[in-house]
Amino acid sequence: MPIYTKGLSTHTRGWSDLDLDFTAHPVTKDIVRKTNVEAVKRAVRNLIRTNKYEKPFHPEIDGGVTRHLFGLSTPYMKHDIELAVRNCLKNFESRVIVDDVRVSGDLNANGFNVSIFFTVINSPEPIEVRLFLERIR
Amino acid sequence: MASNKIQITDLEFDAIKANLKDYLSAQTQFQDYDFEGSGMDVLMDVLAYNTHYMGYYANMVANEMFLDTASLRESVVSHVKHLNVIPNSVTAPKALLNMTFTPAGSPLTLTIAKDTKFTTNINAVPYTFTTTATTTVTPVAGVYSVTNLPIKEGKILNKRYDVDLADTTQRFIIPNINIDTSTISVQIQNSSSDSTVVTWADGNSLDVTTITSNQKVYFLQEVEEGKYEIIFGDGSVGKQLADGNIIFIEYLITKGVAANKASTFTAVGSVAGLTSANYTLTTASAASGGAENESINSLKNNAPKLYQAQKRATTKDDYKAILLAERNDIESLTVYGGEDASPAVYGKVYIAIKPTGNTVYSEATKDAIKTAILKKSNVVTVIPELVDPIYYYLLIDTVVNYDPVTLLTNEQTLKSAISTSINDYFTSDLQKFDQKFRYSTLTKKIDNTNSSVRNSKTSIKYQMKITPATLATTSTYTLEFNASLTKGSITSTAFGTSDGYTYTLVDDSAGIVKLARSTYTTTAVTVDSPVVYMILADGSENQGTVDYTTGKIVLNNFNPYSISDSTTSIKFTVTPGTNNQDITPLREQILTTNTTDTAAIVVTMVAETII
Repeated sequence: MPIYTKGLSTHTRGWSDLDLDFTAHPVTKDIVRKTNVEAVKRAVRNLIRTNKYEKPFHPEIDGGVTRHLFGLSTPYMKHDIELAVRNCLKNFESRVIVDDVRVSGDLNANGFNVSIFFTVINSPEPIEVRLFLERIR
Repeated sequence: MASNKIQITDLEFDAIKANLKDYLSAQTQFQDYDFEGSGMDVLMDVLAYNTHYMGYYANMVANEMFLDTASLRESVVSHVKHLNVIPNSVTAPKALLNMTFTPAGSPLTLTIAKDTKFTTNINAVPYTFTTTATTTVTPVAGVYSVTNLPIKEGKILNKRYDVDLADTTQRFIIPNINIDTSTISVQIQNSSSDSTVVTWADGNSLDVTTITSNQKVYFLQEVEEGKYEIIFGDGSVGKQLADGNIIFIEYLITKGVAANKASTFTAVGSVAGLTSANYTLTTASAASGGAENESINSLKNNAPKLYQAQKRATTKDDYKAILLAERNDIESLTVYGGEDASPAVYGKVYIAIKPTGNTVYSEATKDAIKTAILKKSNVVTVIPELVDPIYYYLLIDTVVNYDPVTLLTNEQTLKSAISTSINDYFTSDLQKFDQKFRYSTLTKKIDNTNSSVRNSKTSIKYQMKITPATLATTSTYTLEFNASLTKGSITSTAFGTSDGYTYTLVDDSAGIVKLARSTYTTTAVTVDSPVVYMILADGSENQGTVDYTTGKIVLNNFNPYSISDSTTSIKFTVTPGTNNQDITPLREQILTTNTTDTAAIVVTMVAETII
């Protein structure tokens, strides 16, 4: 489980993260930061796309969706993916409150469109993150 | 607590990562180090994993640097090399054959060629034995026979190397594992144009200070993957190889301990050019002496002792270290000074050895150990004596109360599992010198066999055997059980005496041992009723005495004429005293179980019922 070194303060703590694209700032040449809601949206995307055993020594940190992408589509699959996304965010992303997760199959593209609606704990505005999940290997 | 210093003492992944987080909490640029989905977390995973990996690697390297902590065989072998210890290789079992030939005509001699093969089976697994030298059979009074022809299990292989001094990386590695190094023969041919071949000697068996610069010796050492490398002299210690020399290496690869006890052999093809119709083949001695190569634990344990002993046997541990280094078919051994013997014998050291896969060594092997190993290293005024182990056979009778409701298998399977638990206890905790029988340890193992076992009641008896050298001869025997005994508990197997009746030995609970007339059947020995004791030559019934406190039984002028169960020994069974269920073997005594005796381990199952 996560090891938190700081308490989650809803009013005083802003979010700032490294951009894994490692884009350089045009002026300072430092690495660009992702801040606040953008940082959280990036974290949500990363988490959902994490596979079991990707995190060293922590197989429990798992987006839970990959295993659903390798079988034949069934009527229950959309529900399973929705449940996996909700569980993942509930367990490993304490900054978000999930309002809704919508999953729709895209038969032509062999994948699923996933829309996650949530609010960040220190921001009242609703956020939507859209992902397209497909088997890539 | 936030800190701008990184802790560097932790090695666990999570602790390293927590230290990094602690460090990062002191800055404000990146705040998301706490969350699993963040980019910072990915970066910290990489950093922590790398640190953990390097820490683990450094730890392993440090471990392999010391004999105490090394876990790879190559590392251990390398360390003990500094202590002048060469690990024992796997040893081929050796059997002895007697053969008598009836050749056509009267040839001057018959020749049994080297690598003449014989097959045998153990548990339906075939093994091939082979002669490792040529034997010439010369007729004596017209009879062509050979006795004690040695054969070893395995296959003779050869390897050739052409010496190329221009190749500075050339090594002479025997490309096989499971080599019995005692069978290695190294011959050097001068060159492809000069076919002179000379056998070089094993330099490891010589005192290195006596090896001259021109002496033809090779040195053997274990290298990677359990293979062996042959090294030659440098022209200072031992003769140096010349360019163009051809090395012929011959050796035996063997399955080691697996073919011990093979006793029936059949020749493959002809022997000395004769078919089976023209010779008889009997086994003089079944295969023995096969052993695995020296284990890592054995090396770690023995190498420092051997270094300490410096090949001189002065203390008890010196004797143990030297014997374990020289012979790898020793399962267990004990050494004690004559002053500790009962009665004390000064000026002697007693050595008892339990060989691997056997109970005692043959007299020939014991003599060989004394002359070839001990005489060379022990103090001249001390006489080493090899004595056979004395075996005590435990009889376990246990009544197990089990719960049939929680039993997931059937009663018979549970019973079998309990027998296995008891046998496992013998294998792991007994059957070696100085290993004590602990009653509570055994009962704990029985109770822990399965969760359906509710309780058990175990009673212990133990047996000792005497084997009269000659029947119908008076002799005095002393049996030392080394524990308090229950009065009236002594019994024995049946034997016949001079008056033609069958007797068994009993005690009268007052310290006197008597012979009671009995009836023998193959399943039981029953003392006649009313009891009739044998009247001895002195007119008394007193055959000997028993000390119930020390467990010492003395049989005076004991004179059995026959042994009823057609074996060669009489077994005496006693019950330990009620306050002392543990049994402590002394000196050369070993506690074990008789696997062929159906009464050795008796398990009675009782299903628990609620009344």
